[in-house]
Amino acid sequence: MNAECKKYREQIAKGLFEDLEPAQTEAVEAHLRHCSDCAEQRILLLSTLSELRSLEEAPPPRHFYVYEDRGRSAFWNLFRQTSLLWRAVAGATLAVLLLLGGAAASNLQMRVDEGVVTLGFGKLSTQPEINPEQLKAEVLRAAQNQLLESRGEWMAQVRQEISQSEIALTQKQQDRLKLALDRMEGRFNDRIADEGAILEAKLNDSAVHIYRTLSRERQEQLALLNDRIDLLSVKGRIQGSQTEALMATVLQMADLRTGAR
Amino acid sequence: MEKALSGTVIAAGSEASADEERVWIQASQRGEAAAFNHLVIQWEQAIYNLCLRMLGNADEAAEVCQESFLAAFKNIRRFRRDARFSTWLYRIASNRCLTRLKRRPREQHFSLESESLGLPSRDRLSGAQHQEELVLRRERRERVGHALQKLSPDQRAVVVLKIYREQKFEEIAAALNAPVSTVKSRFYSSLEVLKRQLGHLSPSL
Repeated sequence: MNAECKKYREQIAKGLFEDLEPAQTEAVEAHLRHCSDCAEQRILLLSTLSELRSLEEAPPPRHFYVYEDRGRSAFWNLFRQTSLLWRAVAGATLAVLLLLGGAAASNLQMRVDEGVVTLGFGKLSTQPEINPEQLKAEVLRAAQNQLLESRGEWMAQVRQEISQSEIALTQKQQDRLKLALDRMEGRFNDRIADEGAILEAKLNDSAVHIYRTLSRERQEQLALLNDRIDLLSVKGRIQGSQTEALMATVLQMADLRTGAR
Repeated sequence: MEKALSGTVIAAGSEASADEERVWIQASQRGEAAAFNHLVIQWEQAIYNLCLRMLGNADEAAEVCQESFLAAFKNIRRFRRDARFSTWLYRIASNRCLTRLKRRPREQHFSLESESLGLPSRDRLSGAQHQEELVLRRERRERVGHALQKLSPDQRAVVVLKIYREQKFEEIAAALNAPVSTVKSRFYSSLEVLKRQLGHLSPSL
């Protein structure tokens, strides 16, 4: 088989199935007119197709009917017959109702505490009470101690620099300087203590006031939330029992609309 | 009439118009099994023979044919009405056959014997000429059966859809979810294999 025959041999079958361009078909026919080998191949192909097509159609042994599932409820059949959009609406409605009913049945509790939402089932554990006065006193004490410490360091530094000074002081001058520094330190300590007391007095009322205000508002909000959840729970129970009727109504409306088109 | 049908009597074997088929398809998409069974009547011979030629076993072909119609009824809403219903059915049936074939051991017997085909009763009538014709037919079926067995499942699917169901290459590609070029390549290479098995220079041609 030469190269030309090889090229046309591949196209013989395509020509039998009209899978060639008209120009290609003419070229193949022209080649077959003067190439006996390729013409023989075409005859073999035709006989092959004839053998294949001689296989008779067998009658089916029985009918292959499908049967409706009579176990399904009319509700389910109605559901299947509606459009996808209405089925999605019905499904979403059912999901919302189930969610509300589930939340009510499981006694879902919610608490908002300083911007943090806490969800739980049953009564949520309360956080330990904070004694604001004790906390304030500790904070003030810590601030006072820090001030005393920093002043003390400063005084120590001053004394050290004076002692290292090259100025020659008499004993009397040194004693007077030491006394002055002691008095200065004493006045600093008294001043810190006075300022701490004043600050404590000022913060006392305001901290308690703020805490009490926040506590009261939080309790009011929690009470409101509990009321709303109780209300939803009741509604959920009522609506849960009417779920199928509601779904049936929605689906019947859909059926009427699709039928009206 | 069978319990599956209600109301209208189906005339088996009669050709349905395109309009009738469209009406049945629409009713089937509303869940009406009786309407779908009209379509079953129209297409069961084609689907059964498709399965038979692919699987080579009558019992298995009947089983897959039933599965195919059940799957078609269950998924009838997915059928796009701008496509051909026959192509859609062939797709379902051929894919089910391919799944079966690929699970089957290669040594399993592939036969198109007349007994398994359940041929019409005229084949069993006596008479010397008919006997001779019966023998010739049986021999031909065996040859064709053996030749088809030489093909891979994918090749066999293409050949059956092209030769016996007269589908276009594009329709076969859609049914088998393969590129058109792949389908053509499989088909023409299959013809070469079949030619070696079945080809002859008979003077009758």
